[in-house]
Amino acid sequence: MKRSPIILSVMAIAIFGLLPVGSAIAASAAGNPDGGVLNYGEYGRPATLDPVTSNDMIALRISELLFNGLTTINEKQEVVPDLAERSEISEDGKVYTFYLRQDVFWHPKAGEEPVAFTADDVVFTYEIMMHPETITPLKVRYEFIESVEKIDAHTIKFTLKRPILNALAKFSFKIIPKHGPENKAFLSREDPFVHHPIGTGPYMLRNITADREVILVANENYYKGRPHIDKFVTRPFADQNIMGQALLFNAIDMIVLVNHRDIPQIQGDKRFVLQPYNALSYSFFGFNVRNPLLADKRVRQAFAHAVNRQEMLDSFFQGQGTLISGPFAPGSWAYNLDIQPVAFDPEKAMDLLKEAGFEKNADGIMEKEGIPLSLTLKVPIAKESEAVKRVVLAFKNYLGRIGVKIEGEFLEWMAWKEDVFLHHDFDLMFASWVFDDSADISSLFHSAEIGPWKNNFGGYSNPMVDGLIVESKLTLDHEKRRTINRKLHATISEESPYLFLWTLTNYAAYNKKVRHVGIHPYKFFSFANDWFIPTSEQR
Amino acid sequence: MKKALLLLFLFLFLASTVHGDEASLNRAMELYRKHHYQDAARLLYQLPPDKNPTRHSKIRLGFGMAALANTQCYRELYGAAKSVQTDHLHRLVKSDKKEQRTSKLAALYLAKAYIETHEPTAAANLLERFLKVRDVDPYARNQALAALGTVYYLAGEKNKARKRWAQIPDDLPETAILLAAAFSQTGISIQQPEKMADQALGRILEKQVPLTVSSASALLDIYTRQKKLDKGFKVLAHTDSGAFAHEEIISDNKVIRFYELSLFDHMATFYARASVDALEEASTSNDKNVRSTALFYLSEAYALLNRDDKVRDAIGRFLSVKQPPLAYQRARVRQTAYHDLVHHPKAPDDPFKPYLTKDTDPSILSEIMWVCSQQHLTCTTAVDQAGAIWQQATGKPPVKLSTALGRYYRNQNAYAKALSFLEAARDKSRKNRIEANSPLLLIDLARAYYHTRHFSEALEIYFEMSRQFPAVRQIQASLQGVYAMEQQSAGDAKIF
Repeated sequence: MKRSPIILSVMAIAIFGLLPVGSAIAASAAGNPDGGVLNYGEYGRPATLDPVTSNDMIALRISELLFNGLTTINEKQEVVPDLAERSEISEDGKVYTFYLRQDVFWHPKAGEEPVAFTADDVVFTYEIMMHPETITPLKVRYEFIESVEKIDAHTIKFTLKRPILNALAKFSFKIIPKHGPENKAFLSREDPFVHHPIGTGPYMLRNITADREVILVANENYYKGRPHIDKFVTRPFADQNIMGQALLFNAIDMIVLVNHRDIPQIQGDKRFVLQPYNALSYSFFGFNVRNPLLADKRVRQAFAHAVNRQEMLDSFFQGQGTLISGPFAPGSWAYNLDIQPVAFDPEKAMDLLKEAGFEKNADGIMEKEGIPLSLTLKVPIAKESEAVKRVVLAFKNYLGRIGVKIEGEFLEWMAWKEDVFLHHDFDLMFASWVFDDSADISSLFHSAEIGPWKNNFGGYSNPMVDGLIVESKLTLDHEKRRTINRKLHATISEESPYLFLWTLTNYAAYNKKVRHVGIHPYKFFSFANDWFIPTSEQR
Repeated sequence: MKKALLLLFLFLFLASTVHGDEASLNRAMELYRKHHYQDAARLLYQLPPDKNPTRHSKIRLGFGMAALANTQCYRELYGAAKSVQTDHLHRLVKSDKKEQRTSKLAALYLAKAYIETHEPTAAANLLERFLKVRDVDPYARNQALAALGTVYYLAGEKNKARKRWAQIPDDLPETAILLAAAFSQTGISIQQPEKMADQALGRILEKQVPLTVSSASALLDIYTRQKKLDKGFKVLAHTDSGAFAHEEIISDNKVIRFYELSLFDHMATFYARASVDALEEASTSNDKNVRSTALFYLSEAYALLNRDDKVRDAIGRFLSVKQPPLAYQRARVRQTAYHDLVHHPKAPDDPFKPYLTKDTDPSILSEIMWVCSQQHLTCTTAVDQAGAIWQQATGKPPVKLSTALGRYYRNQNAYAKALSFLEAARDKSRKNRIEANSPLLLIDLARAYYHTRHFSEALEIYFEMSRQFPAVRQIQASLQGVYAMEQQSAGDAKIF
């Protein structure tokens, strides 16, 4: 049963907080000059630029400039309308009806007229996202949707399998155009669209240069009004140190991730603003539990005891981070405060290996049934800052002391992703996850997420963890969800599918000439259409 | 100024000959400089009285300073905890109406929070309702009876209070402590609350059962009121201040923990009294510099106990000792505040205007900001002038000025504005470490981040802070609860 129209409109106002987004932003930015170029440094290049197939932060940041969702999150962390100007929710919380804006157009393809955004695009996005052959981390997040139905060109109805918490926020997934991908059934990384996408966002992709720079230009027809800055240029740097130097020498205007070693220098330089923006990330070594030697959790626990993480953190990151004990960051509501990080205890590490049936061979390497504990560690070159190199070297040394041989291999970002996520050709890998504040780890540890390009790359499977993840998603009770996440934290910490390392706050740094900078804690560029550069400082 | 006085004190100390206690004092002051105030206070408290009067006065000064710093931290943490816990408990009680499997204890703890926020009527209503609930934990019920009795007694309804208290069995040490605390808070000395507390604590320690955090908080309050600081330290030594007070298992996958909010207040007051005792003693030192330093800190300690007469007295005595010009001016700011303004029915809107010239030193402006924040005064001219200096600073603005401006705006609930000043004061290279940033600055930041819904930033700060202040755990737990309810995200994770 639906609510009465009056209740519906009251609810819609309550939901969207009476926010005429476009006009509010236009008013706040009125009078600020257009023009200028913003060059920003990234620590790698994205594999794809679309919001469906990508699974890294570099692509997420770019897609935030190119696309919009039905809803979005404002600077006060509230859900506000985006491509949908209002919504209605049925009383049972299972039917969401969105009324779409009628003034939105897709970025025009060369030589073509802009195409209007309609409900067909929303249906298309949902269907292509959920198609079995589309490889996307989004699928698991949207399994709660039972069906989508176009009511008319500008009205769309989603029916959920069950009411869920924060459903409106989940409708912030980015919409792609029906006329975009070549293959209309499913989206693959081979489709030209994922490399040259068109969206509805404040910036349009112009080209990707031979140096892999991504050039975005202002969308003159953006429904919230033309963004102020003419051009965004994404410049990939293989080395964070060089990226920091590029900022200091004014070669670029912004970096999305400051090397921790550069913080004191940038902090003391009045040309720049140093801004922390995300506390929900952590670094880890991931195990490939498909390797029989690593399938025994005692072996994984032994590795954790063998490594002095505090020493590494103090030595290589100037003690700037915090050791973690499980799959959530300490800044998350889901972090289990009872669980302490695994203690550095090499003797215990040896005991655990022996308990698991390993003994040292003539070369001093632990082995079991004639198979030595000799493992490959794959590290993306995009993260090959000095600090990470040292971490890898120290890790190798620590494990060497308990008779484990590690062969470190630094790979180009894309090659690393293929080895880890596609071919699963690794024993250990080094990486960092960054989360939004939902504390949703289902795509990382649920056994349904094992497979090519899926996030459970290590092949970890535990029916109890699967059950808890599902129960956490099903409940509408916040305290229950907290309890479940505390259990998940404790279980995963004990099972050690990762060797959890530390969390480091991410800092962005930018030249003060860029004004009105608001940075989304996760998506980064959500408010970039409001940024501007004074005319006198444009170049 | 405090820093200057501290450095002077350290210099004076280090210039003297080395002695066993002096080595401890040296270590303690190093801990103090790293903002490990609890460790510093603990170390100095354990030292036996020194036969050398000057050395003894230095130890007392050091202890007084460390205790004062603890007071300031716990007072601020208490403010933060009241806000976060009340928010969380409110939501729990509200959500209970919708959910089938509800928390019974949320109402009790919300009522206790109302007592801390001085809302006795709301507390009494909730407690009465809670007492009608069946099958509640007996200790929780006794807590409700004790609290309700106290609320009634303080409202003048003494018979109602006695009826409530009479229902509490006093044969168990934990319930005897509840009664003793009620008698202590209501001033019923005939019941000898201290003796009751001594006996109950003795039984608990004899049986070697853990001292619960609720009992510890109550005992600390009783002993502080009786000025029995040694007994207070004994309680602290047996207390896990990060422990929860109650764990309510509603189902296998729904467990809620509740914490003792009053602990922060009782710890703050306890340390304030300990600080005053030590600083009073040090203020009679033969050594002029020890005396002078002690008097300045003493004025702060009395201010935290709301003893305005004593603040005025300490500042007057401080000014009577010859002081360097800057120290003199700063003390005059404080003297002005306490002589002329505090509790004055018609305090001027801009009280420090006459003190300001265009050349006023930033440290004086910082002092003014602090006083204005502490006394909730509107100080437009000083704020404008401080803001202008802050804006025009070449390089990083003075940390003290940024901190003081941040505190001023935080007190005015202008949290976003406060954040810009507080962040400017923060050493970002070790941004959550109390060794690099003053705990008071970090608490201000965490509070401002909480109110601007940047929950993960606030949680990160408290996470680090809980290493030195385990009681912070209760803020973390409540904040996680609010965050879980407030977060609005799609559920995304990316490789970084």
